[in-house]
Amino acid sequence: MNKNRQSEFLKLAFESRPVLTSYAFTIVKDWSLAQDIFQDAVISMNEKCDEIQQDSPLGWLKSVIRNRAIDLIRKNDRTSKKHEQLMILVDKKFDSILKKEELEFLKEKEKALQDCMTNLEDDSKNILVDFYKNKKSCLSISEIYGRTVNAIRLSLSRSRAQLRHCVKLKLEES
Amino acid sequence: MKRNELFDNFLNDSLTDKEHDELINRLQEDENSEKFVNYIIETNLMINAAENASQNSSNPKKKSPILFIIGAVAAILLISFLILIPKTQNFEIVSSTFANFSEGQTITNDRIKLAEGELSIKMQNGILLELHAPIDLEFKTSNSINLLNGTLSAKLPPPVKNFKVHTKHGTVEDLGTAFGLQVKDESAYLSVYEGMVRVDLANKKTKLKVGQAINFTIDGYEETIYTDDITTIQNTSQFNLGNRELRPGQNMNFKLDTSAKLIKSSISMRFDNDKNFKYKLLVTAKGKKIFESPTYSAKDINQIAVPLNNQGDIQFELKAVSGSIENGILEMKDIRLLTDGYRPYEGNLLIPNQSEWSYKFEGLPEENWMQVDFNDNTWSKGKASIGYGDHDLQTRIGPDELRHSISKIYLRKKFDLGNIELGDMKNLGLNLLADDGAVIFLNGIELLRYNLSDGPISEATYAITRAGKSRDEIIYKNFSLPVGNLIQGENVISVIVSQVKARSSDMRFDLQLKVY
Repeated sequence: MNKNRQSEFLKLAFESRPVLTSYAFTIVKDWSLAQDIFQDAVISMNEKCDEIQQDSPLGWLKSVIRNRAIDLIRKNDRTSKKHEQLMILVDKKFDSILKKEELEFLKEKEKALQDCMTNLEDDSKNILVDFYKNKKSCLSISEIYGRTVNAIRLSLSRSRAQLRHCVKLKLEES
Repeated sequence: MKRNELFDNFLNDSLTDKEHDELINRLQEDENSEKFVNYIIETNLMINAAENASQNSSNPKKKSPILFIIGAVAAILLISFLILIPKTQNFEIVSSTFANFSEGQTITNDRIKLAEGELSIKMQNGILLELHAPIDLEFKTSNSINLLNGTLSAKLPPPVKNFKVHTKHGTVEDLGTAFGLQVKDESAYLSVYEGMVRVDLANKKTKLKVGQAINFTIDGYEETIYTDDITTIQNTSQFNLGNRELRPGQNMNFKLDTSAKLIKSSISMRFDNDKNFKYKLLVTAKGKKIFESPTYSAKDINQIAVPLNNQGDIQFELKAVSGSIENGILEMKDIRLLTDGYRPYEGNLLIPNQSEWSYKFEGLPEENWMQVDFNDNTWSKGKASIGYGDHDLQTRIGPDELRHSISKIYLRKKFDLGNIELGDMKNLGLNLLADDGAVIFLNGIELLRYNLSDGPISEATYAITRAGKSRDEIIYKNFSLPVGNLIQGENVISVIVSQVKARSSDMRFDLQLKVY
């Protein structure tokens, strides 16, 4: 097995992690599962790196991720025509982000976001995770934090706006 | 509903049917679909950052998800690498495919288990062992090991002798030589490269000299592999050059099992070393030459399409062209034999070679051309191989004056799974002939990209490299792909074939698809 190729592919795979886990999520709608699918696909890429064309490892990885994700939702009977339509509409958009310069930009963005996140209040962070990752409804989150449903919606959009603004400033600085 | 609320409900998996429809409507617009994808990625980054921030405040040493994943992959490599039991034997790493081990490093272990990769070690008495994964072996003494399974080669430096390898099928004793040994559940295979080796089985003993090889079990052995003239290979994927050296002007002949009546028409060949050796492969059936390959480099994986179906008495002749090679193993991966009473499982054919395709080469096709329900009645029809510039095409496209300015062909073909149960199928086998590059879509989703860079394909996108005149443009490339979004019932394969530049002298396409 070509060791250089293996480590080059692994590096590329991890650089593309935010895009490809997001892609997997779009199909399975579960972040933990999306991480698992990505991880399995990377291991598979690592094992089969000699069989993968040098010029399209990310294309290969994306297609493995897609197929595994689709297999999983089929097994759980979660496929629907609408969801398939949606995937067709966005599939190519993911391709366009799987480019070196886009991935480098995302890496900077990720770093900036991590810095910006420290400015966010703990409650706001937890609401983000509860809503987006744990898929709690605004109603159940509002009960946890003793706030109104609207306040939760507002908190989510404010957090996003605040983070977006902060990231923009940091990227401009750098 | 606001756009971001729709996106949020998608992310929260709480879209109603009506909202789902609204989302799909909005995503028809390019700008919205781009924003949607960015919103998901941004959310992903946000979740990670939020979780990291929470973890760092409660447990500053906890790993981030990315490190955890990297760690998990590394752990899999490591666990597969060494299983450490009582440590009594020292050995030195001579070379390894693992970054964790460096040349000259001394390790103390009693057992080595490799799930992947290769490792060369030198034992304390100087015996050199090359281990090829998967392998599992235990060191018994400084001069004996148990090979539980796997493949190794051993070289003993003079005056070291009597190195023993115990296997479940018998014991191999090296009398001061070099040999290769492969232990499988059903039998073991021993090939002597230099000197002499003794084999002790339950009721038999034998000595092998250089060039000899046997398959053995506890009950006995049979001599195998090559004679001086022609080597017979059976349902195997490797042809071993043994200790022979092959130089320009020299040939090596080998043939398939005489009962072989059919082999798959594509063969993937590679040598197991990267010597600067170039060769040609000639194939004869019943004494008649049916194929002569271009010159190949031993460094590459070479795939050839050989018209061998239903032809018997197949022989191969390996001709050295330049450089030399010794101790090489030619792997011929995809040979499939049909022998009496045995038919290899070759999958269910969905699209045969030389099928009829709908195609278009003037202007861009309609937006939904990759969908099953797209009406391609106005498209041209023709049998593959489809293209221009070569005389052996089934379908030559376009008027002569236009041909050299056609840079893309759009093709589609519907097929039905019929009685094939999709649930039992794991892979798609795709054989592609594309001069110069192609993107294949299954039901509108990209399945494979060959010789084209990532990203959207526009009229200005061209293949990365030119298909070589003598080689790539006539060679079917084999791909094994996950079954993906294949559905029960009717499906469609859509293809964009692209030239390497706007004007080119020839273009060609054919495709075969199987599911298995």
